[in-house]
Amino acid sequence: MGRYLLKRLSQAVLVVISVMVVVFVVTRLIGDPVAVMLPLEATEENRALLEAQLGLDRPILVQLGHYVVDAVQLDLGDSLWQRRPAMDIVLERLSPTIVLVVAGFALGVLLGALIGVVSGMRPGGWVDRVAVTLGLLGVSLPQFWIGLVFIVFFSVGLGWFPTSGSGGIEFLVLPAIVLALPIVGRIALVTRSSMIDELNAQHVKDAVARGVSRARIVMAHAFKGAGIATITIAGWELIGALAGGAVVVETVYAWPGIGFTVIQAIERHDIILVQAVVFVVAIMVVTINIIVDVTYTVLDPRVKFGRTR
Amino acid sequence: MSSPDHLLEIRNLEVVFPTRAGTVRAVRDVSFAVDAGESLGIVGESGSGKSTIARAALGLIELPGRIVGGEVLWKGRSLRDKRVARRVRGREISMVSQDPMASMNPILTIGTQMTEVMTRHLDLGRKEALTRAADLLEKVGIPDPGRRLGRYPFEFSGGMQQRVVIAMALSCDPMMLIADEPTTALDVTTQAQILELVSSLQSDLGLALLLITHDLGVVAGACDLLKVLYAGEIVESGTADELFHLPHHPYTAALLGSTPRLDQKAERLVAIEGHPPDLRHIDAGCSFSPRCPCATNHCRSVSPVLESSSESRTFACFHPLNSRSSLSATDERSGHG
Amino acid sequence: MALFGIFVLVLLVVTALFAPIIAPLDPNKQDLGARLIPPFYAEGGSFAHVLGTDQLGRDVFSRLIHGTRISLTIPLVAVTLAGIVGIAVGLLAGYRGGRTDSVIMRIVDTLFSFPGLLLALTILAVVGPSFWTLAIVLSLRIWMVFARMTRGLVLSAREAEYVEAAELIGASPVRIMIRHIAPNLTAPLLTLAVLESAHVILSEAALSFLGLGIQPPQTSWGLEVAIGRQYVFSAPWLIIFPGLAIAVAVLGINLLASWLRVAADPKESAKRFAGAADAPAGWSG
Repeated sequence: MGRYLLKRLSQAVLVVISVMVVVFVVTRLIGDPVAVMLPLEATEENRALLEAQLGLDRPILVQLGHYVVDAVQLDLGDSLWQRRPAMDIVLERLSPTIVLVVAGFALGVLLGALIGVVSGMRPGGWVDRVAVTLGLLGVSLPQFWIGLVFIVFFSVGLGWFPTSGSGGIEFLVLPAIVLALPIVGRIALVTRSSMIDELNAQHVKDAVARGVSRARIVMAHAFKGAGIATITIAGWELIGALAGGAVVVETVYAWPGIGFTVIQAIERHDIILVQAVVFVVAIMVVTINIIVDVTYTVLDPRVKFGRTR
Repeated sequence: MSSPDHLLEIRNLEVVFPTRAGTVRAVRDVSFAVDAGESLGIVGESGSGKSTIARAALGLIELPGRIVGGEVLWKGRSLRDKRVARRVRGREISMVSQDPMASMNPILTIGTQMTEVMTRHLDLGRKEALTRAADLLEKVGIPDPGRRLGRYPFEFSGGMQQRVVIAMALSCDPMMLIADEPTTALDVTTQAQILELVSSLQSDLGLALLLITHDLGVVAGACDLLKVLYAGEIVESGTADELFHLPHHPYTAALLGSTPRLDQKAERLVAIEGHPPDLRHIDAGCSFSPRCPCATNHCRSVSPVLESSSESRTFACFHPLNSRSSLSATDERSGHG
Repeated sequence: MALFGIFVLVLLVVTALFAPIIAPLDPNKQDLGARLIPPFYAEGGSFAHVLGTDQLGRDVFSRLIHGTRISLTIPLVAVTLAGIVGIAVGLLAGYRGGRTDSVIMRIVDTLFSFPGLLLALTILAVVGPSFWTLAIVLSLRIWMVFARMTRGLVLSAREAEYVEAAELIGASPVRIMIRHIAPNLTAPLLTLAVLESAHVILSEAALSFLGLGIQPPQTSWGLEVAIGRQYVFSAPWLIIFPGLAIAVAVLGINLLASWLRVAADPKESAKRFAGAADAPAGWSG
């Protein structure tokens, strides 16, 4: 286990470094960060000044070296927009995102798994049909659009929730639901599919023949098997919610997390802040990946003993 | 009718599976009975309906399959009643199936899977159930059973897995064991060991045994009585001795011809020519007639019914081999020829 | 269900191809006297502008129809690019095996751990959004999926006896690839391509909504929603209809993809709505 973790950890570090190198290469080589950051009326002198300030007048490899060394010390430079360390801004904005993502993810996984289990127990029944339709809708509706429609309907029309912003729990309800919708859809479809596989497996038929009760079959046999598949998907969903869904949903609802921040930073041409957000999210993504892998290993004895499924 | 001394009695059982391409009549008018402590073998090719009979005997015909006629009685009560079946299954009748690896849940320990039936049916606590499970593992010949309980199925060899499955089947002291091809997935040496284990358990525990197989060699030593199943119907039955030495039905004879026998030097493995009939469209006449070397026009138009030749023997054939009437069959054949 | 998917797809393609003919009005023609007219069903609406007009008096329905072009070409281009690269890499990894394979798959695995949309946003912000940067960035997010699946398919196809036999008699690798392996790849990769184009439509819409995708004067459904957002309280039809278009397109493609998957894999058919029962598994013997 220890060696395995060490291996996964080194892979994770590699991933974070490659993400940062990609961002670096894109910003320094393909794009022209100074042009992006400067106002249109800037002069050559302004430009030279900013280049010097950002260290962009040095050779590219030296820049990369400094960049990596600073990043390891969690120093990603000062935000051009707010004139203070970008890392501080990201860490401030992190907790609203975590609140939103955890709420949406938990809602999505719980609801999705519930729908998947119930519909997978009786494929073809009306419950299943409704569930599959809902699942397909969940994965097909664009999140930003549903977010706006919810604002029109629930906030403006019915006046149940505030339209946007943050504050009490009432501000969290709509964004969390919108973030959860595609998660519900995908988790429900995957759980359903693996429930059907599990319930049709020979070992389940034989367990029934040996006299194991239906309730125990569903909960102990099928659900555990389906749960392993669901956890893998759930890990991807958490990553997707963090690195994609949160950006969209936070922007729609002006939720003051890192997703909204990154869009604001882009609008203000604050590349430094954008990099800081990408860095922090990359670290969280690889951490989630490790957690999923470890959970998987704990749950599935065949993996633990070095056998593949 | 239902004499209480029969443990399991199957009467005129008809099972169908509706499919898009027509209704498959998997089991047709099958009747037999098993008494306490008795062992019965059902022999047939794949597709003959033998596994369906096994599932029916557990009250487990699942949709889309349906029992459309007949009765399955356990001690006189119908297993078509789901509540009766649920109480009996695992408690009084239990089952061992073909592939032990597939038969156990790969992600639950042996101990968990052995005890889950006991805690349900025997009202045992988890600790007592585990003790009992260890005893059972020892009884089926698994060394160091206490430690094995925490292991997962894939950590056992095929033969050991099948022993575990047998132990699971015995966990509630059933009166009857249904074994559906219990040795097919195993190698030859292990097959013999498992068969021996089943036989000795049967006599030690006074179990009734319903042994289902495609291999006459498997049932030969293990069963008192045999039924030969073809295309969903019983075509011949008798004691193992009778069937082996004087098969009446040409299909039984053909099965004997296709049974690999370890005691013979040159291993004969003669496949029976032709295919079993399509059970969606059953023609008039004897089901075996298209493959039968002795078939006549009469065979192709009229279905033979089971008739008895002695107390233990029945067969469904107009031209039985090795019997007095076989002479007349030869005459008729030449007459039509 | 699959019929609905095919119907939607055909409708979209026809709409995209013949947009100028189908659209009743010029999508870019402004009419400041006819700003924010509601759709026909609402008070003040008329069939002159079936789905109403936007803040510049442009016809929403016509803009929607023209938006189909970009919203469909982006997934087409992105999936094609991703498919070409991914399949080539997958073939290389699966066929060469050994070190090549492990290095390639290590890279692919690493890319899977990238924070997808966020990275796409960053790249677009720096490079500048345009049709081609958008298509390329979106294809960068998905080519690994094709690579991974192709590799898996090649590996399992190579285990087939007829491929081993062909290798034994010394058939050339190219011939084996084309004659024996390629046929096994077609159906699953096609299904994957259909499925991924649904993802790309959603990603394009989201990026355009965030202002980092399609830029005016070009238009796409996601961009329409972004523009309509400022008028969401007074003129909700500006976001409703483009959003519906995205939803229907993605739903249709998803239905088609799930039908294709079932059609390609008999094992999956058991999971469809089991109204009519197939031959039950394991009834025999």
